Amino acid sequence: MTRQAAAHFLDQSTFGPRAADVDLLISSGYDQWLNNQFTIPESPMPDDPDVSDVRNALFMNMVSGEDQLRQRMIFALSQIFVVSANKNNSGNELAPWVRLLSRNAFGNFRTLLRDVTLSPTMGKYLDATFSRCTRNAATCPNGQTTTVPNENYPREVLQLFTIGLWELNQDGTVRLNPAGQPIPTYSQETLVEYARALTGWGVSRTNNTDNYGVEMVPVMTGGSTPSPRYHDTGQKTLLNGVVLPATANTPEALYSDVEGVVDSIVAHPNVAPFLATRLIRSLVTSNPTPAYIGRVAAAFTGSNGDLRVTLTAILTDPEARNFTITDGRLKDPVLMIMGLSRALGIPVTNPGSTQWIFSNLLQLVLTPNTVFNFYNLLTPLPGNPAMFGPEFGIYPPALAVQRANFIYGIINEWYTSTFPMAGVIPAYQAVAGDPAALVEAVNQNLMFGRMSPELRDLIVAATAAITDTSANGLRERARGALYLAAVSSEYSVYSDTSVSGASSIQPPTVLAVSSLAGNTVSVSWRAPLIGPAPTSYVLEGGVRPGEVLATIPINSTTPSFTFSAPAGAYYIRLRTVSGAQVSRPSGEIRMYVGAFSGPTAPRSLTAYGRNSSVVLNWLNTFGGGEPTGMVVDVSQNGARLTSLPMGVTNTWSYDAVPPGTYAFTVRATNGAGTSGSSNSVTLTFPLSGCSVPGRPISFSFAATGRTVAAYWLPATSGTAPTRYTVEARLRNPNNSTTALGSFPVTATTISSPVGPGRYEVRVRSENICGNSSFTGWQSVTVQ
Amino acid sequence: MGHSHNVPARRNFLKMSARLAALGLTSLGVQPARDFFVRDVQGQGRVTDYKALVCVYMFGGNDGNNLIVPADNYTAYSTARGGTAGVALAANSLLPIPGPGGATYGLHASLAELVPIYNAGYLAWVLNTGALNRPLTKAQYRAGGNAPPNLFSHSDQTTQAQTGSATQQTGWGGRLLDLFGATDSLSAVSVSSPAVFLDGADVRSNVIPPGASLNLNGMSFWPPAAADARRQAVNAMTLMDGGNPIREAANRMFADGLQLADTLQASGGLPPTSSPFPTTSLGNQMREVARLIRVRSQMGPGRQVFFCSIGGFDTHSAQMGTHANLLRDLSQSLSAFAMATLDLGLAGNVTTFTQSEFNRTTQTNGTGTDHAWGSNQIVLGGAVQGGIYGALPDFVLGGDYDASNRGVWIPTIGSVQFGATLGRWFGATPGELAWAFPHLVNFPTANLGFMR
Repeated sequence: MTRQAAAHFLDQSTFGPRAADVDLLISSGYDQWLNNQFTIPESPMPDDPDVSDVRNALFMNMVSGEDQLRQRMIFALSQIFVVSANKNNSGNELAPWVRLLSRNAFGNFRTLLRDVTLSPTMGKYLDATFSRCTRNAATCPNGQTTTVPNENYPREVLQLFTIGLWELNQDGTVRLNPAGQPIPTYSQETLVEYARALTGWGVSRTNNTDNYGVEMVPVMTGGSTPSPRYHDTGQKTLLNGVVLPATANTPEALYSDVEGVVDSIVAHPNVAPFLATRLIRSLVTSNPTPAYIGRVAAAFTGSNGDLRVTLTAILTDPEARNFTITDGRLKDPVLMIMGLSRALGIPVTNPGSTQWIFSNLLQLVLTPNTVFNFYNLLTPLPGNPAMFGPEFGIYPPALAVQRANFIYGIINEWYTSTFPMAGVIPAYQAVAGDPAALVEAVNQNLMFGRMSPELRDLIVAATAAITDTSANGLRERARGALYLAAVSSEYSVYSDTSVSGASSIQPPTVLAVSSLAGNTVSVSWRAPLIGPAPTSYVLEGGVRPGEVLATIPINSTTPSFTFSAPAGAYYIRLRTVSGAQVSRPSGEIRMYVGAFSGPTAPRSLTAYGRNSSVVLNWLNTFGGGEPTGMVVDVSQNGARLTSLPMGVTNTWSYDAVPPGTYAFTVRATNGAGTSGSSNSVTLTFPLSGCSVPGRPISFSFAATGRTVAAYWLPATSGTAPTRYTVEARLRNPNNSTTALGSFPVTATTISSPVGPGRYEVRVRSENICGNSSFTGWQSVTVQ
Repeated sequence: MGHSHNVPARRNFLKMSARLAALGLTSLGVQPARDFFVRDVQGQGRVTDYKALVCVYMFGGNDGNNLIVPADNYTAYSTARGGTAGVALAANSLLPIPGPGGATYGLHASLAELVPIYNAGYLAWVLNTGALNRPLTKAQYRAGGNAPPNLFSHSDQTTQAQTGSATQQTGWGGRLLDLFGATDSLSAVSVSSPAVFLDGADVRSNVIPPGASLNLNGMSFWPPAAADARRQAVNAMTLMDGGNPIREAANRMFADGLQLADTLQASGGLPPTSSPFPTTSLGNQMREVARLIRVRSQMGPGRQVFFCSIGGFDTHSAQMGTHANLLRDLSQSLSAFAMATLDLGLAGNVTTFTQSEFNRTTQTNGTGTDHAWGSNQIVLGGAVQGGIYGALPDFVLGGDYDASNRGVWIPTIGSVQFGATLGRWFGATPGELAWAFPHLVNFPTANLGFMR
């Protein structure tokens, strides 16, 4: 076994390899290492009423406990069976919960599920505690008519914890019925049966609750306690038709219903592939093949849900041991920071002082925001929705930068109360006189020899650029090399850099306009340094950011191009082409072509209004560059009060003009400048003299094939309308109508393709002074 | 404050709705496939202006009964709340505002900043709105008629308020953005905790903590040439993925974050505004939203949705003082934000609204209140048609509005109608709204009229 292979295994089974762990694994082999981990005593989790103390204790167990595999399994299980300190806000609730996961981590799944179902911590989180039957003389004589059994835990235990929404094949793929449709695993009716079966549980508690039992502070050490008077004793029909017979009104009946519930779930064929998929995603890779899931599911089923056997199957599978180019998993913040600490030998202590940063990074242990975990386990991979990338749910762009900044802070000794880094840096500083030796030390210690030559060259170059070789300079080199390696995707993602092929196709860089004469433009760029060699490029551009109005193939690998463009202001960008592959676009630049000029001034500005409202209308002109925006200027006594920018339009209105006399003008703008002002219109507010528009005339509605169209003319009475509202409805066979909505339009026609049916429309005129009445309905039938 | 009227382009309207109706899909409860019903009118090209929706979420279940009080029916209100010894607001503490038909309403005294905005016509109250799958009478509710699941659970109702339905795993804010192809890192931004509200089918939410520097640390040290070499190495690293799609995605997130940091730095901070933001968590969040709106609106037409939040509304005990302080923060933050959008010249382009998982019981439990249902929400902005929409319940405990006997009001306006009214202003067609709000088809109108 190589150091790289050992580190790859420990990525999946611990919170990150340490040098000594790698040596031990190489000498013992996978099986012996696993057996050793299965027998190491559990790290302690003492009772403590303080939530922070419990979180910190778990954090320390995870980063430095010797039972690393168990701790990693607790981390995985806690993200499937979710509770949260947001609601379980006492340490007395969380410490027993962690112990529950810890003692069951290598046990039997059925026992785990039973313990979870009877956990008062889960009972509070998902409202199973104090769930009571609905009053009924036969099966619930003591309940209240206004309560119903709570469906929260029953829903989530089925949907999120054990079987999911759709029937699965044993390889995790979705089963389809003969019509090609997925098959739901359970109905709402079945859910209600589960809720009835789980009624009647309470906890002893120390203070009062509200009607819904959510504000209690339970004493968790006593476990859930049966309250038979609130248990529904009727018969329940569970998954796959399993029937729990009617029970007596006794504590034993509550326990037997729980056993029945757990048995019915464990017997469902979805459990094996469901759990296999989640554990593989959590421990190994985000997109396992169906064959891998099938092998793990078979191990789970064959061992009757023995998690030790299941874990062994996950970690020793050929797919886990030999990654392909599509295998990988983004590290969680906790895995990333603990892995860094363990690899570099940072003696982590006192985690409480930096938990706020984990909270900012959206992964405060034991404190996910919702029952959907820190991230939804079905999150698609950004940019590649056919694949999964659950951990990307908490890796949006802003947090990617913040995570890198946290790592920078750790390495630069900003957080020494948790991450005492002072003893770590000197070893790197000592070899920093030789950039290649420094980067190799980083490669061996942080990445266990898995750094790619490409990354090594980059970091060596960045290190050598620090020419100061005083102690300060060498320390900066050491910190910089560690930092760059740690924020690279070779470190932030579990992958196998040695099986990686060439980088995917990359866009060109440093796109620039190199010369510009009249309408002739020359642009130049640099070929991408990484990825497949370009065979050609494609230039694209538009008048707005990201817009593609024109695409120009450049059938050459020469990194420059000359072309002719009409006068205007453009955004251009470039893509690399290599064979059939096309890269994403390069960075975008702004380009001003030819005698490009600002727009000419709008004209024919008119204004009208009523009271404190005003409407301006004008005509845009196109004697110069095309406008990309407008500015309305408002002046008083010759002094400009305000300038209001807006998109290209020929109308604007404002409803709260303070009393006074104002002059309005309009200008047009584009990238090359701003036009002169239109004619000026002066109005004194408050205004009078506006009237409601007349009703549209000559209204008609007709169909041509499957396209319907309505036409009308503006009324000649009243102040001119600024828009019309068309109402449309569908006349049903039973003579009722279904409203299709009302639609504001500025044109005097509207049309649309439609399906068969009888359609009816009417229209009215509108302006700022009011609305006309509607025309009568006009109808047309489309076959 | 004023507003600009839109110039809506002709809409391909009948297409969507008629197809939905003709195929009868919605009545089967089948989610219309978006590709079929929406993609054909979707795309950046239809967006010719800039608009933003800002959600202010009150975590814990806000007591909407004490936001706005029926001054004309004060005795019933006060009696139901146990008088001022219970949780009723004193009559002489209320801030009077006029309602339709000569009615008078009283606002909580902490909402003073909202009164002039209401009186100017740019603030709407939407009364007794909440989670509904369909309109529901008390008899239908008690007969078990299709009420949303887990009505009084924080976690469920917080999720449902944001997804719009227990059947959805994405948020209605994100789904509205899906319709406009807005997927850049400034499209869906939480300035608070991450919110499912912002996640659409395509749209991924970003989280930008208020005031946080997004600049990459460690990129400025002496000499500048060495610092530049390090930054160039970071840039180059974000292009190296070895052909691995997971690394490619990780690189893309990091690179997008670096680009966003550059964009924000280039745009500078928010210039001083005419009304200061309170120095509270919510005030800081809304200031950040104003900054991001300024940055994005300068880039041209587009759509943005924001999520802000304020916590502490789960007032099971000692409600009166706690609630007054929370509402003061809310009022001052909303008002300062409204003034900031006015200063930016974007008052008509930005609409702010409140949400919370549920109302609280009208009847007190002593010094506090418990979990209830339909509540009152605020909408404000230059495009809002100010006024009172809907009606307050009759404040009769155990009466026709009460789902229990403690003043748990059955909503008379579905929260999907509330969302769809905002979505219509955002530019969504009726067919698109039916996609974004799955239960909308069950309600008599998709437009409550509070947007101009």
